[in-house]
Amino acid sequence: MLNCSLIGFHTFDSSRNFLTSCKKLLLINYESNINGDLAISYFGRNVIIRVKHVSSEPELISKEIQTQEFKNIYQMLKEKYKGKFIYVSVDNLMFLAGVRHKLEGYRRFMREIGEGCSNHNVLVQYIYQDDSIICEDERMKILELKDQIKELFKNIQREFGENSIEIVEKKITYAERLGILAAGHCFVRTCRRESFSLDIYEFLNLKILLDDYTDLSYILSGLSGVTTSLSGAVKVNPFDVITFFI
Amino acid sequence: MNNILLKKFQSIQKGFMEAFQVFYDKEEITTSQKKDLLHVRKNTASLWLFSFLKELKNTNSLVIYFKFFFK
Repeated sequence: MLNCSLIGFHTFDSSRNFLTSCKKLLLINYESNINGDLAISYFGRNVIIRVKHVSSEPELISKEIQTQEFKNIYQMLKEKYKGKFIYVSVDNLMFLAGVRHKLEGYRRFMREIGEGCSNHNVLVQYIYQDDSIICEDERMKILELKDQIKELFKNIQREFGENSIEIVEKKITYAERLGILAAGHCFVRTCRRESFSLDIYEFLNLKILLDDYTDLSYILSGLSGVTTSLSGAVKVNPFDVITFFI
Repeated sequence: MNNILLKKFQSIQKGFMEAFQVFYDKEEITTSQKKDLLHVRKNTASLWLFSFLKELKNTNSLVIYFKFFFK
């Protein structure tokens, strides 16, 4: 990596990690440049370190909004859960996504708010499976996770009614994903570890483009990279199931 | 030179104020959320890429490499 001239990091945490590892392994200290950048001098060269995160492209999203795919799923969800507060989430089916913890947290939250209020909430969870998993052991583990999620889903439905939760497992296109995100009031992401997912940026961009700010909120895991860039997010500990939604 | 800088600063300020005024009157969102929306609106992927390439231009060795590559 040090043979490059410019190394870019999305978050300051990851750049700090790199700088400390350089210091510990190679005994190189960083300095600030004339331009105000961080730089490491390595074999007579200056390696510039840049910290700036990427964002989503609003022009691309505005094009997708006009497609029929987007409109279909957006209207379907809006009509189905009319008058309800929609928690929305789209996750990859893996342990680090923390879907099981999320469902457990949602169940506890619904129990706490009581029967009167629980009818006004719904969690729309879309799950898609990654095709890149080749290892047989990992496949078995994911099947186990899927069973656990199904069991939790059935328990929640039995306890609070069928309209309290919806879990759909299928591959979705980009336009469909945007449609699901646009339909929700609150975006939920409780991953255990993540670098820089742009789902929340897409969610906020959609809200700006549709000019719909009613009950806007977003719950983000404190261990994901995006939380550092957004100050209005409700930051939660993904391992603390009790205080997810509260 | 000063006039050019002043004009540039004024255009940036104008753009910022225009972007901020869109969310300023919205009572349903909090100030920190307004800040986030402004941040999301101002920072786009294309701008990020543009600034990254601009910084690449400032480095020494890669410019030579790029020149060689595009010949």
